[in-house]
Amino acid sequence: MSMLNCTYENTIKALWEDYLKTGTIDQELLKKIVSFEWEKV
Amino acid sequence: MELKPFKNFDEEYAYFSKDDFKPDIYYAIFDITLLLLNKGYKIIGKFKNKNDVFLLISRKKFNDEEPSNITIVDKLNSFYILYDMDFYNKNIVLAESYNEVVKKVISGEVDLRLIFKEYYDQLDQETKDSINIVKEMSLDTGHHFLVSKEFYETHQNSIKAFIKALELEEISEENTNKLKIYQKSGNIIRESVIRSMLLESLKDINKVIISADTEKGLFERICQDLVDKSRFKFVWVGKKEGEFIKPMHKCGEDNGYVDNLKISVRKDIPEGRGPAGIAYRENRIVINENTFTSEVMKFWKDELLKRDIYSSLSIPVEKNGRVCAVISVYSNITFSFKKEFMTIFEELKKDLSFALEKIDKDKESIVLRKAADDAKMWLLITSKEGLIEYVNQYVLDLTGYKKEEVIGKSPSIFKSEYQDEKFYEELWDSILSNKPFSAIFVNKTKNGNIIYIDQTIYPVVLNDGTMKFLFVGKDITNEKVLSQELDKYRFYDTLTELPNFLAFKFYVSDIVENKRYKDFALILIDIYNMSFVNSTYGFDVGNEVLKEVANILKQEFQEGFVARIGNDEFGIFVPDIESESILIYKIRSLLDRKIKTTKNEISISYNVSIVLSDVANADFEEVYSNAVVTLNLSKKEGENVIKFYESEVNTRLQEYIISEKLVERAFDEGLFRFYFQPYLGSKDLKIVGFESLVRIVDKDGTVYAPYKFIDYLKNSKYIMHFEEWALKEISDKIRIFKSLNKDISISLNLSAKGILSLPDDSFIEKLASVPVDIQDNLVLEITERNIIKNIEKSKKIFKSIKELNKHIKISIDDFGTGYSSLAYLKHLPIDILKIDISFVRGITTDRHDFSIVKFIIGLSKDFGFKTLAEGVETKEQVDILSSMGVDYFQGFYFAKPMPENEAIKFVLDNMKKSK
Repeated sequence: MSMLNCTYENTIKALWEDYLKTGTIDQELLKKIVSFEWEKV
Repeated sequence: MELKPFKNFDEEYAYFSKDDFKPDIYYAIFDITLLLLNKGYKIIGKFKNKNDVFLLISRKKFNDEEPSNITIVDKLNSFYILYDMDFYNKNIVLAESYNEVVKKVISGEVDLRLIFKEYYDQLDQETKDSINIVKEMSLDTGHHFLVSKEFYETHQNSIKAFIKALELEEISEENTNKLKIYQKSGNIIRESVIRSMLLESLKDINKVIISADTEKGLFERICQDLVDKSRFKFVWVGKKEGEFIKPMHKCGEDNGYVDNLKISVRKDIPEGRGPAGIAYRENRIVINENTFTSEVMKFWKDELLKRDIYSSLSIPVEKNGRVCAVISVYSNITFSFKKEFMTIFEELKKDLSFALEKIDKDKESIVLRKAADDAKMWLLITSKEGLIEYVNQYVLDLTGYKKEEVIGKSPSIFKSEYQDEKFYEELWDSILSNKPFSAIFVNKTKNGNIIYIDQTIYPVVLNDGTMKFLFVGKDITNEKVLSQELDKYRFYDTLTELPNFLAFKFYVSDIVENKRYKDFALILIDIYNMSFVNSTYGFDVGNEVLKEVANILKQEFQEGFVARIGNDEFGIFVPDIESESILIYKIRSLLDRKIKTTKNEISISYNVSIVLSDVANADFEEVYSNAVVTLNLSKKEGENVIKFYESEVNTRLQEYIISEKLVERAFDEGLFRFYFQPYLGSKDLKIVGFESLVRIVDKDGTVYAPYKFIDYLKNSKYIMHFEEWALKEISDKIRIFKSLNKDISISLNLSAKGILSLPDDSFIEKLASVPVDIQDNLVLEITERNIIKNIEKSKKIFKSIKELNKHIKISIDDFGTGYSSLAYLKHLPIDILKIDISFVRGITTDRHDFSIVKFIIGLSKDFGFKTLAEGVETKEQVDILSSMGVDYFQGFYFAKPMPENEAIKFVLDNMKKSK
């Protein structure tokens, strides 16, 4: 994955595209996405 | 991998609020979920059992108290929870972040807070220990995966696979609708909370408005308030300078934004098309709800986003109908300023305009107030009721009072006794009829010192109809004292320190011409022998004499006005004189004393003239010249003469003074004498007795009849001495006449033309001391008038006399003039009735008199009285009276009253004739 310095909204997209490519979910990335969501508040 | 998340929710929300921000797929929190739903996004699912769980927490020690406030972050789901828990009526405090929320609860700033459970879970143990979980609440919603409509339509299959891979729970249509309900309810609560917060801010600002007294102060405090009390990041106020709006005041964390601002009032350049420019130019409030999307923010967007400013507000501030400033407020929350709150902002705009105008007005009154406070003038304001509401420092300094001692009091606190009630009546009459009143007020300080204020009192009617009185004055005490000093030289005699003739003239003119006193006397005193004193003792002694006389007069006529009107002359004005005799007595007692000088005691002689108010003209010159003429007349009569200005009215008084002098001299020099008029038996014309008649016989032989002195004598202190003298003298004479003829009686006249109106007890005592053989020949004459004045008393006295000696005869004088009933005579021990001269005189010509005399004689015979006809002057009268049977004759036909020696001769002659 080449998603360094991606903005958040693009990261989810990246997760999606990575899944389409590999058929698997990058669990690390997913965790980060999910945790960031509440940290924002 | 590094993620670059949104800095915070507000940035995220701002981004998603933009129409053109449309990522294909997104994992969104509740608020963003709803935002995206509105943009046509579709929820593809959420993690199973991953609902939003909220914890309502309090600080550890917060037990069962009724919570009064709650803090939440500004998120729709939080608002929805409040709605769901019925907490929205609590005082809601919005926090920027969960960190801030926790801080507020632990510090006790708020009672309750609402946080995400996930947030709680990652807190450190110490923080958790200080927190008490009140309630856990779960929404059957949370974070959602959403895809745009276009993306959904083109990637349906892969989306399904994605859902499966993530084991997402699909959201039914029904649940999606539920989310919308959450949104609606949450929004309602949010709006009402923000509205009330804004209103709260407005209230704070109004407090500032009321208390601000300068424009700078007003703006500074409003900026400060908006930053401190509301949730705004920074605020600035700009005013037009040339074509730019220059920030004048700022507050908050602007990180250099305000200082670098370039805002124009022109429409044709980008710098003029921002909110502040528009607000200024168009005089309307401009709201930037979302910096990302706002058209007007284009030019400043980047700088603002750098500082996380997502919304702003620009309010034009009017003064007297023209925009004079713009206030710009910045928030890092999107939609802080929504169009729905416009009425609140309009209100704020109006309040600010009011404040600026008020400051200008106050400025004027502050300037005036300051001027009034510091003015070196007497300034005082009272209510219509005359109670002091304001005094300036000058009044306080001058009078020595403290402010609290005079506020609420009447200005009469300063009143001296020098101005009479009439003065104050005129004052009130004038100002109550809305006319200013000007006068020199003689006021009094707290210490009782006199101050002169040249003052005008203005009645002032305020806009609301209330009336006030404005006292404006100038302290002229120094000028007054100076002019009094000058007056002293102009109007005062430096030797005696008395007013001089000029002052006397002014003073008396004013009184005489304005008729200030009803009864007064103007006295001129001339010291007769001053030239003698000066030549004998020297001028120094002469001056001492004048000074001493001045002092004596000043002392004795304190209520009057004493002046030195010439070298040796004094003028005195005496108001309200009691009586002329007291006045004369006073003058004599003052001037007859010896005047003490350092080395000698000097007698002075004087002349005095007096003009009394009843004969005075209403013109000083007239009064004064009368006094001068009278003084000259007095000088002609010799030393120590007091002379009254004579007019018909006071001739009587002049006579009184003559009588007084005569009586005094008669006593001093033994000039009283009795004259004797015989009365004879009607049948044989043999002498029966004499009526004694008092005279004053001067050394030069002048004989004064009783009418010249008897009125004075009767009412003077000499009457007692006179009684004693009379009884003794009569006794002596009776002895003499008795030696010639043992039967001769002497009558002592106690009537009006005699001594007493009625004899009293003291007289009877004196009578008792007269030897009995003398008493035997005594007749007491009393007038009928005096008897009928008090018959009972007469009866008692006559009885006493007869008890003392029944041979003392009682004779009723002037009988017939009292018109009394004769019946009372029966009960009185009367011996002789003397028929009044007036009847005797008419007996030959007047039938009426004839009848009366005949009747009296007839009645007397019945009662056993002897009758005596007075004033018998002709043979004819003698004949008629004889025929009527009168007992005795007295009158010029037989003899006039005569001195003792002639009376003796008359007795001897009569005795010869009778033989």
